[in-house]
Amino acid sequence: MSKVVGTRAAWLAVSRAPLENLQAYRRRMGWSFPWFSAAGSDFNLDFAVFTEEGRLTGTGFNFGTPKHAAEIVLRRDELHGLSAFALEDEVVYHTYSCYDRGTDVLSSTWQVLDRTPKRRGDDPDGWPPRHDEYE
Amino acid sequence: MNLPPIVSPTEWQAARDALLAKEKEATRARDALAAERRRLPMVQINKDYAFDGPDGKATLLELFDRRRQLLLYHFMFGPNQDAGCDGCSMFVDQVGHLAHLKARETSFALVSRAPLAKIEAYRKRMGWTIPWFSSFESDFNVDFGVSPETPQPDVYQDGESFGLSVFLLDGEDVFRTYFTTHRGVEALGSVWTFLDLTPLGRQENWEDSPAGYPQTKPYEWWRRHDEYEGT
Repeated sequence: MSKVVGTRAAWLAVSRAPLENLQAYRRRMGWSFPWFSAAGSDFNLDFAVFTEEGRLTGTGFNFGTPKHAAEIVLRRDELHGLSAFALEDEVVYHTYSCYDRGTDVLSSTWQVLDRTPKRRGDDPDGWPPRHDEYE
Repeated sequence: MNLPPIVSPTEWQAARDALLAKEKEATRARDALAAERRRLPMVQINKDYAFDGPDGKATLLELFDRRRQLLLYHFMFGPNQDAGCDGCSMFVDQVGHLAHLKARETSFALVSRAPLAKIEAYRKRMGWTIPWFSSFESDFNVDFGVSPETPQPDVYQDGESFGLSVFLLDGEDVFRTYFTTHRGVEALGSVWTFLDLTPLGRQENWEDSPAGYPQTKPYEWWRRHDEYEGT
């Protein structure tokens, strides 16, 4: 997949864990996309896209709107999101970010289940296990 | 090249928040559409179709692999061809790990008109593990409107077309609940949905982008994943 997007855009993942943890987990999952560690960098915190208040308090996520926003402390909790960047003349621009339900059109698993009579299942808050953890 | 206007983080945040309100409207509208889709009526399939698969003959019921729902992708692969359709190949590259669908009682299978030997060779080339069946000796593809009566060797993939059918099993009875194709299939593919989040978009000439953005014709820029140069 990343190779196809690669003709029109690069695709990669960034996580806060140290690189060796990412590499071990990537091997376990059988993934081949580039994966970088943001350990020791402000990157993850900066690109959580805070409100000004969130930036000061280290809270806030998804533009402060999810139902559990009050419980999130980004200095403690990791969360997911997708950011788009553009490059022009060696200058990097941040063009877009989305979080939470904003990422679900990007998952073909959710999208095809939405085409079935039973849809995603009975537990809308449940997260799927890893692909090697199903019984 | 023409670029988006460059603004401060605060100005960007305000513009992004305004778009977010519209995105949330679209998410709710999509949820409502999915709710209507789940209430579509269904059609019972009474004909006994027999497919050729890696483990021999298989019926449509057997394609469910003992699960309640079946997602069946009609993959364009004409019987006179040695390689399947490039667009269908890009779509299959985007199907996620099947463990997650199986956990929701849902199987996923590909069906093509090409004979099984050609399918198996091409599957090996592409490195896919998705179950893939041949309807070469069956009326299935013609009955479901994705193949001409007789293969047309002079047109792309012998005149095959593509789409996604959804089937439901009730006891031993098989029903078709849904079918989609073209833009409906593109909505299921993360290459398209990821590119929709980038400033340049899919870079296809039908898109409403600012003047000067790079654009080429849809259906023509993609290749099989082992045919791209320099990526």
